[in-house]
Amino acid sequence: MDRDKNIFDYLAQVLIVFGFSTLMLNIFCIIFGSAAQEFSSMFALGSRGLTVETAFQFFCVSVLIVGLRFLFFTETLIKKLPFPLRIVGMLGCVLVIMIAFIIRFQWFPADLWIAWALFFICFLFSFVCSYLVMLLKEKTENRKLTEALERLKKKEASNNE
Amino acid sequence: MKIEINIDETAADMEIVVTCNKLTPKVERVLAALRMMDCQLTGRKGNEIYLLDIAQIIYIESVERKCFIYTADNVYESDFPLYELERQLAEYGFFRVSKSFLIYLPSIQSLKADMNRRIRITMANGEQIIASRQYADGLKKRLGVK
Repeated sequence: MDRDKNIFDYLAQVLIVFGFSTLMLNIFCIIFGSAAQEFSSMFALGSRGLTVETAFQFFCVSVLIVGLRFLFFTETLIKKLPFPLRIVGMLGCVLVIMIAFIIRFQWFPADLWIAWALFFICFLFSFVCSYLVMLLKEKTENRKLTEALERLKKKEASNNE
Repeated sequence: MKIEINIDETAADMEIVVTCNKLTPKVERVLAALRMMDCQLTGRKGNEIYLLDIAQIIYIESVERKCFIYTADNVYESDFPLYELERQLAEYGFFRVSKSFLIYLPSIQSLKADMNRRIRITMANGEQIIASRQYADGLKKRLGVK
């Protein structure tokens, strides 16, 4: 870990994940709520927004996701694991949690194949978006590091003159 | 050990005279610490002791409690532990990038950020060193990136 994080740092991460997912779900409610009201517990209120139960279910998902991030992306519990395997582990666990919540809380009917297909497409899309953001962040960071190194070399050269 | 300090306002430069009856390891450590202040580091290779200019050094590695000084052509052993070298050399452009490596910043050839928040450092001799996550943020701060 880059520094010792405390419980408030993790709580902040939980609230960020929860806030973002709640916002997205409420947008989905406005767009698809009325049509999905009959077969999804998530859209029980139609286009009027999320129910309290659904909000708490997503809060639990947020806590679990932050827990998984702690497990896979810090070296506190898993000391030596290559980074690609950490990503695979994280994705696998998130997928299992999401499927468990979908079935347990009937976010959509488990026998509706088109719903599952859309879920997997959304999951894949989210993963690709996250990956692209990470790539962009890495590229920006590399540019900043190269610039910083050039500054250091120039400073060193002027000190030697 | 007797330490005598003479303050002479007419002295042009600081002069340190070490008087001893034999060149013991303790005396050598004192001399090495003094040389470090003069931008020089003592390195051992075989039975010989070499005086290295700090600018010659690319990085220092700690392996099983022994420290090795890497220059472009040679490897020397240091009598100091890595934490001591880190403390003494910090002001001369050295930076700790992992538990085992102390690098000389001007000897960096290129830097590359990894996705897992580590930094891959290529040194002037082509050697690749990984700045662990624990130290990567500190390195960014030192370089003025963060």
